Amino acid sequence: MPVRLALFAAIALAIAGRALAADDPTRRGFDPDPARLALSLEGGFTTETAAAAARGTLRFASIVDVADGLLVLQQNGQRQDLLATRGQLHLLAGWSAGWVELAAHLPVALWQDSDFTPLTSQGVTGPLVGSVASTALGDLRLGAKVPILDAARWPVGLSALFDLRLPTGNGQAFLSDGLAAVPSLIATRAFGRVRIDGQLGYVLRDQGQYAQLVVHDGLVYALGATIDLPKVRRLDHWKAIVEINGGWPRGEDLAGDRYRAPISARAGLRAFLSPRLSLEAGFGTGLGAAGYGHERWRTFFGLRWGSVGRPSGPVRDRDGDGVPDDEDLCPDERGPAALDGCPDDDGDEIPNGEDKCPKEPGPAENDGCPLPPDTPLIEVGGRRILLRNPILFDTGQDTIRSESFPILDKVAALLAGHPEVKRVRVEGHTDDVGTGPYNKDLSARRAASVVRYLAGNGVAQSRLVPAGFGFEQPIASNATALGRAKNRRVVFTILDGAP
Amino acid sequence: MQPALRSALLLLALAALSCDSAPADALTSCQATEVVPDSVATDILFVVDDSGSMSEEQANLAANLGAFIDTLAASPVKNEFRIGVTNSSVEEYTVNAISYTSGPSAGVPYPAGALLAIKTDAGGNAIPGSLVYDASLYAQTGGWGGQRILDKGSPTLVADFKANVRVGLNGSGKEQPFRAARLALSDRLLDANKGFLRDGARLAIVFLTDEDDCSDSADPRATSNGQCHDKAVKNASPPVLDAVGDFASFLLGPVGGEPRDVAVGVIGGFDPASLQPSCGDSGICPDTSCATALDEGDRFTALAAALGPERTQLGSICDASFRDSLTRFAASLTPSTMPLAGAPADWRMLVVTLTKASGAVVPCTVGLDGTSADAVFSGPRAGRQAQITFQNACKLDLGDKIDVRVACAG
Repeated sequence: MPVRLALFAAIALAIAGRALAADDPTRRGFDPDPARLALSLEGGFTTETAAAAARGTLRFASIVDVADGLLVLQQNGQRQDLLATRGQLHLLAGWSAGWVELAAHLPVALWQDSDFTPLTSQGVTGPLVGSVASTALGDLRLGAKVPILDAARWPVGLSALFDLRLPTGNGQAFLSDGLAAVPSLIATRAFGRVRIDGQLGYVLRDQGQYAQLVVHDGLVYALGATIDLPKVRRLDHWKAIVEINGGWPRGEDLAGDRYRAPISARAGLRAFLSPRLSLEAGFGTGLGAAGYGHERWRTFFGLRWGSVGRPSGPVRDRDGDGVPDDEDLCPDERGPAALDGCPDDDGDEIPNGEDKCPKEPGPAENDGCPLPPDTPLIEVGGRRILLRNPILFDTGQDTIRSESFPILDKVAALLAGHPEVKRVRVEGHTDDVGTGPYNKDLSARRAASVVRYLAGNGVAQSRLVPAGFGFEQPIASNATALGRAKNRRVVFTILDGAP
Repeated sequence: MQPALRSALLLLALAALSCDSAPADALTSCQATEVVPDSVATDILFVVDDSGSMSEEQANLAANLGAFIDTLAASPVKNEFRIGVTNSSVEEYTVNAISYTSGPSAGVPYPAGALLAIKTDAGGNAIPGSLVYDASLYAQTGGWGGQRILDKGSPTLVADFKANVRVGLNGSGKEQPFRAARLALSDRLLDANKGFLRDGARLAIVFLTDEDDCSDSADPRATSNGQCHDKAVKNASPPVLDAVGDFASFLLGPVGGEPRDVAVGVIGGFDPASLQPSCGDSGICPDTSCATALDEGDRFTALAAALGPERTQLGSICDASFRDSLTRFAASLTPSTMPLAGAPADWRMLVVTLTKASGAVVPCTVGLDGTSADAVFSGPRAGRQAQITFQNACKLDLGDKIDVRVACAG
C-alpha cells in the first residue's frame, strides 16, 4: 500500500504543516453539530464497523435528521440559542470491493433557524451577527475503509478509515468545516447478539471560530452497540443501535471555554423489510448543557436500500459468488465462502457435492441426511447428551441461530427433569479455519453462549461448565466441508451423576 | 494492510505532537466576559474673583458646591476628579503691588495662580479671605499651605471645597482670571501647584467673576478699572490686554507636558436667559438684565468662541442660585470615554449596553467608525489604554450604568 501511505502522509503534512490561523471571532467555518453519520455499509448510525461489506454490495441511504440547540450565547450564566433547530437531509452512497469500502456522504441543510437577537438586541452589529443561510449545502465527505484484521480470524476486527471532507459547504451558515481529513481506526467485536464497534480518529482541519469558541484539530471517537433483536411477527431482521460519539479538541482542558469537547448519544432501531431495504429511526441528545457538539435533542429517520451488485475487478470469479475461482471448489456454481464456494441447496451447511441428501437438510453426523422422523431431538447416550441436530451459530460469531433454540430448550428441560445430573460440561469445538487462538476463543465464547442460554431457561449455572477446545479434538477431516461441518459442534458431556 | 495501520498511527502521532496555539489575550473563560472599566481622571481648577464686590457670589458658590460634587460622582464612567481653587489676584494696576493690603491676609502675596486653602474658625466655618500662608513653614510650595488639592476620596472634600472658595474680598481690583489660570497651570506647577495636574488627566477650569477678564501681562497696560471695562481697550489693535486667542491656544495645550481634554465653565456677566454678555451698567453694556455684574463677559465669550461650544459652558453671575449652572458644568464633565483595564481579544466581540436610571437598557452598536457607532472602540496605543467612547444613542447621561461584555459562545 505505498500509494496509500504516501497519500496519508501528504494530506497530513498539507493540513498539519500549514501556518496556524490567527484568532478571528467572526470566522465561523465550523459545523456546531460535529457528529457524522457512519460511512460503513453495515455500520450503526454514527459508528463505523470494521468489516467491509461483501464484495459488490452497493447501498444508498437517505436520512432526515432534525437537531436543536446547536450553538448558544453564554452570558450572565444564561444560555440563549443562536443556532436553534436544523433539519438536514443526508444522502449517502457506499460500495464495497471486499478489500476496500468506498463511500460518499452529502449533507444538505433543508432549513435552520438562526437567531442573533441575543446579540443584536445588545447592539452587536457586523460579521458576528451576519445572516445565516437557512438552506445550504454541507461538506461532501469521501471515505475509504480498508479492513486490516478480519473478525473471523482474530479476536477483534480492525480497519482503517480515511474520511476526506471537501469544503463544499457554507461556512458562514455553520455548515462547513473547511477542508478536513479524518484518519481513524475502527475495532469491532461481537458478543452473541451484540456487536460492539469502536472508532478513534483525529480530525485535521482549519480553525473555525465563533466569538471565543475555537473549533480545530482533535481526537474524535465513537462507541456503539448493535443488538440483533428477536423476531417479532414478520419482522425477523431488526436491530437496536445505541451509540455515543464525541471529540476532544487539541488544547481542551475542561476548565476554559475556548474549546468545547463534543459528546452526544443516540439510540434507535433499524428494521430490514428485505435484505435490500431497511428503515431506521431514532433520537439523540448531547450530554451536558446545549450548544456546540451537545445538541439539546435530535431525532432522525431514513431508509437504506441497495443490492449486491455484479462483482468486478481483476480477480476471476466465474460464478460471481465472491470466492475467487482459484479458491472455489465449485467455480461455476455460486456458493458461500465458508463452503469453499459450493452450493448448499438444503442449507444444512454441507455442500451439495458432499451431502448425501442435498435436497433435505440433515446433520453432518448423518452425512447431511435427515434423521428418521421418530428420532428424538435429544437423547442421553452414555455420558453424552446426543443432539439430533447440531447447535448452529452465525459464522465467526457466538450468536446462536434461532433454529437451534428448540434443541437447547429440550436440553434445558432434560436437565431440569434430572436434578441428579450434577454437572454437565458444555464443549465448543470448531473446524480449523483460522488461527488456533482465534478458534479456541471462538469455541469458548460459543460454549459460554450456550451456557447463558440454558441458564436463561432455568438451568442452574453451577451445573454447567463451559469449555472451548478450538480445533484440538476433530472428529472428522478438516479437508472437506462435510468434515469441517462435523467438527463444528457443541457437545454436552455429563461429568457428575447420571439421569 | 499493515501500511494502512502504520499511516493511521503516523497521522495520530503527527497531530498529537503539534502544540496548541491560543493567543495570550484570547478569552478562555465565559465566567470572565465582563470587561473591567478603568476610571477617568479630571483635574478641576476654580478661579474665583476676590475683588470687593464678590461676597454674595462666593457664598452662593459655596452653597451649591455639594450639587457640583454629587453630579461629578454620578458619572457613568468612574471619574477620579480633583479640585483646586485659586483667585483672580495677580497684581494691581501698579505692577509691583502684588500683596494684600487689607483684610485677614494683609501682607500675604497675591496667589498669582497658586492654589489656596482658607482657614476655618474653631467651629469649622471658613474665615473668608484668610489664606493659609506661611513663607517658611510651607517654603516648598511657595508659602501656600493647608488642604489645597482636594481629591474625590477625601472625607472632608465638600467642607474643604466650600471653605476654599471663600477667597475673600480684599484681592486685586484688576481681575486677571485668565492670567491666574495660566500661571496656575504653568509657572505654579513648578512650585506651589506641583503635583496638581496628573498624567493623563482631563482639565477643567471654572471661572466665577462679576467683571470681565483684564489679564495684562505686558506693556502697554490697562491702568484703571475703567480701562478694563472699556471696549476700545478690550478690542485694541495692537492689543493692550493679553489676547484671548493666546490663552485658548495655551489651554489646547500641551498643558503640564501633555495635550489634554479641556473644558471651561464661566459664571460671569451674562444675561441669565440668553447668556449673552450683560451687566448693570448701561454705559458699557447694551444688555443690562444682569444688574449685579460690573462688566459683561466679553472676553469669556471670546474664549468660548475660541474653544468651541463643546468645551465651554456659560452661566450668569446674576442667577439667584448657581446650582443649575454648576450642575450643568459638572454634567458636561461627564466623561464620554471609558478606558478599559486590559483590552479584549477582538473588539468585534464586545457587547455594550447602557442601563438608564429608568431601568431601560439601551444597546450600543460598537465600531471603529467615529461617527456611526454608538460605542467607538479604539485599541491600546503607547501610553494609552484601550477605550470606548460613547455617543449617538449611547451618549452617556448621569446615573447611567455601563455594561461591557465579551460575547461568549458555546
